[in-house]
Amino acid sequence: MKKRRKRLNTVYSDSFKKNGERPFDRTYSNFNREFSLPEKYGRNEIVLMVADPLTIYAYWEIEEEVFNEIRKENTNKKIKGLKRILRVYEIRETFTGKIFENRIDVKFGSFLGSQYICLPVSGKKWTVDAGLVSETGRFFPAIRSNEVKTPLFGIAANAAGSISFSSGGA
Amino acid sequence: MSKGYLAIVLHAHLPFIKHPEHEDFLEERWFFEAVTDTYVPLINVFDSLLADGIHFRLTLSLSPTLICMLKDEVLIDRYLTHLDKLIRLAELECERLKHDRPFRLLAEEYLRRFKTVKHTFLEKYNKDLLSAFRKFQNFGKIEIITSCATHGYIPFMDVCPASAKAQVAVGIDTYKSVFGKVPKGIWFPECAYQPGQEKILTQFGIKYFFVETHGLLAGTPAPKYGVYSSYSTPSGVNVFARDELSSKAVWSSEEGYPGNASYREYYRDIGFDLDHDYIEPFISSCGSRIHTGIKYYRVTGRNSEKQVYVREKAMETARFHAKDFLFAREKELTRAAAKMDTPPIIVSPYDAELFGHWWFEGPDWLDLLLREINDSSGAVKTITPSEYLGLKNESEEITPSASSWGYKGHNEMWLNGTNDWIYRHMHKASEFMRKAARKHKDPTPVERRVLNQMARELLLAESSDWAFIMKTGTFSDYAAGRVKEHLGRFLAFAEQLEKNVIDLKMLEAAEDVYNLFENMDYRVYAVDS
Repeated sequence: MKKRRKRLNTVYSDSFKKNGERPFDRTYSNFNREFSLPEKYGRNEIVLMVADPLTIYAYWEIEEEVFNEIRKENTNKKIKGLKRILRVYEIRETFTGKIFENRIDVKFGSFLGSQYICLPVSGKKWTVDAGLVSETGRFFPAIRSNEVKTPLFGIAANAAGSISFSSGGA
Repeated sequence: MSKGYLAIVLHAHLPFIKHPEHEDFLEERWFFEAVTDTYVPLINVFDSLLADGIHFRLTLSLSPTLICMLKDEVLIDRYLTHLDKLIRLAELECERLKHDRPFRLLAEEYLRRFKTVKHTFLEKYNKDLLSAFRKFQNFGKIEIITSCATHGYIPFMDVCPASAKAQVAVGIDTYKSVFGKVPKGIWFPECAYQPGQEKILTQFGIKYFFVETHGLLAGTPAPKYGVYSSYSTPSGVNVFARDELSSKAVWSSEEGYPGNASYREYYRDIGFDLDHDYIEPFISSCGSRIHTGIKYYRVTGRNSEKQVYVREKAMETARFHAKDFLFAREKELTRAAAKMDTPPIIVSPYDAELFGHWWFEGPDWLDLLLREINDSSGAVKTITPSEYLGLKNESEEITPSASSWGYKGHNEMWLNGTNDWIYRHMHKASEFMRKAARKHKDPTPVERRVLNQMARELLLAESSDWAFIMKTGTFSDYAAGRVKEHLGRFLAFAEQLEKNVIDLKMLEAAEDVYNLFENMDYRVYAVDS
């Protein structure tokens, strides 16, 4: 890479002499820093990130197709008023496996979006299903997110027994 | 007799900023200012301590992007031009202020200071400051550790572990290329930690890392000795935690030393104070007023009415603060030692750029502190984390809690309404990179270059600095532009690779500007999902 730069610099130095332009005008005239990012990637997914002990951030991209599939499957079952929601589960690990306890439902509209979700407790594991909920409360999950764990809010309970002089000062 | 140990850790980092397409670019000055205000003054302090036979140990983390900038020919040449301009400005100031004694003395001090920086940079170390740090490490005075390649925020990479691994691997590789060995420790960017992330370190032989105070205190089980000891994590890597009291003494703008009224005020700079026509050659090329680095006032009150800076008075205060810091640490260690069966350690990490750049007298304070420790009773000894680990037979095991040293101690500085839009693109790019790396097992030479440049662009987009800057609101357009630039170019190359139509001009230009990580090997991303 160093060799190539030297070569380029030589070329541009010559240009400088010939045209009277400053070298940097020529050297990087083709260098583009202006790019735009795609609006969507065509993947159905929902991703969780931890913002703080009581807040997670979810972003998603879910094509309408996914929900249409659910609607189609249930056409004959007379299920009414299906709405899109994010169902937030607290995950508990037991000897027999994981238990998913529904803690919060968040409505969402756009197939592409994001949302900060306030949690009722800290120090737990969480996951989210994006799906449809009927008027009677029946839930049809479509896509599941990754799992995240939020840290405990505060340290008092856990740090009991540690030596610490932070509050007392030196 | 020694009561315990003090591990001062300086984390030196700047995002990779290089704009050769512009003759003058404002954000490049961050590097120039850090070299003038922080890196060279610290080197001069270490050299002076070495010359005087002072016993000291200090840990310095040099981020891989900073290492690459300190080696970059374009930036070095530009830095020298910048420094010459500073010297010229100081000379003009000496002339302008020749009849105003208090100010003239300060202008002369700046002139002397800038000339000393030039001497150290150019003549003493031949434009290679890394050789100075290597020398101090070889003398056993400082332990240099690494950080993640571009200061990526590791807790946000749990959905794309290939990125986390690449951040660590490329960081270590950059370190090895300069210092010829594997670093003993790592500074996780922003001191950010998510349980389990230290597993990456085991395959590279890293012995220790750091967490924020509450990261350890909220760990499981509770740490018996609080932050005054090191602990082993389940993966076997050791963890140290930041001591809150010593941090506050230096960091806090309200209670910390740098806010003392004797010290130099950062925000009153002649770039804003003097006549525009006079200062124009030394400020932004577009005419915007900016900091020049020459400041004549001290921290006095919150308004613009400030009193003139008196160097002798500031040094007297720095001396007092060095003694005060040592006195407080000795008391802290004495109290901890009484409850411990191994000698306690206080870990005091700071951003290196605080010293000299923000806190003008910071390098002097450090010099005075290390001399004070050397001359004192020996109750407090400086130590590096690896030396401390060598003193211990075994460590309790603990899993630290998720934490960072950012606002409120968690992730919200880097994940909020100003910057959250970047992560969906970053995660997706990481997935594309991993797939491309696994797919191209036997690439042509050009394909290899494209894949390596894609890896560089992805790494550059992942810098925690961009999200941080977006949150602070100053230079946020620049930060957002950099994320778009790197991810946009990454996606363009990914598409070219897919279609087998490579734009060689684009590739050459990208390689020329973003020439960091010269040994980049894209296969670092070829991990299982």
